[in-house]
Amino acid sequence: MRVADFASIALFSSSLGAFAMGLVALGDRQDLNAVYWLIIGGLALRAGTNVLRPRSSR
Amino acid sequence: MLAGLSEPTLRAFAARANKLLPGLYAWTATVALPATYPEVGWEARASSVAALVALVLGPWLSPARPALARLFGIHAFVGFSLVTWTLAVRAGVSLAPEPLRAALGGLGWMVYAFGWGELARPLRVPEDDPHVLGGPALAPRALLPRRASAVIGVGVVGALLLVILAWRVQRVPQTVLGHAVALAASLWILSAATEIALTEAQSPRGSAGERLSRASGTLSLLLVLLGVGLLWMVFGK
Repeated sequence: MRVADFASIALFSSSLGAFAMGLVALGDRQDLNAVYWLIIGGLALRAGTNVLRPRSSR
Repeated sequence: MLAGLSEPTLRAFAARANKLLPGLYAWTATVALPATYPEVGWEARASSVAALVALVLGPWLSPARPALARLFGIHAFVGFSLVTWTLAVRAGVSLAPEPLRAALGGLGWMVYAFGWGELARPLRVPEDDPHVLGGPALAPRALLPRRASAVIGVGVVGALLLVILAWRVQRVPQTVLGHAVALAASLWILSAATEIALTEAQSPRGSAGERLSRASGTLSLLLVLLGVGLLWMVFGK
């Protein structure tokens, strides 16, 4: 298993955590924090799948 | 009444009905109803009627002009519904006075979305084709690795967790946002988990450095935002 595979799975898991943090923050009435964590989650998930794709399919 | 119709005609009728009927229910329960309240102005009523016209035009155009049908049946219908809701809320009307009615309305929108999806064609086995060459069946060269199943499992559990976490949001306007965000994130997570699991099973695509460099733009932005968040946490409070 390569470093890139680890990175992809780590980014995927982090995105899951960030989305969860975003929803928890939204429930705790911290709207700015929620938006911040949802953006972080989206970027982490995007990066996690970008690592896997060949350049031609981006 | 439908006995004399040919099979293609019946199929086209069923496809139109699948698109139209759930949309009509969703429109009646969630768009038309708020537009009938006396507080609501003519703009909201006109918008709700425009949504209905778009909803009917979409399935009517769907076999011959699919792009135009989607424009009316999905984009225009959802757009006019949003305008109606915005105007109704500005007029002081509550869009979800009762949880049960709101849940049934949400169910209607879900079925409406399914109606616009494409159904799978009847199953066709390639080996049954008369032109196929005879011979023993080919076995797959490899099975999915165990970690691929683990990634799918994490994705499914995580997606469910997000949907459950959305119920923590108690404030009225933010509840809808919470559920919408949770649903979108869950679908995205499931899609990414499938992609990661399937790619794990394929041959490697370049070196680790090359693969990481493909995500360099997104990773850079992610690191910058994480840095900003850290600074905000340390100095912003």
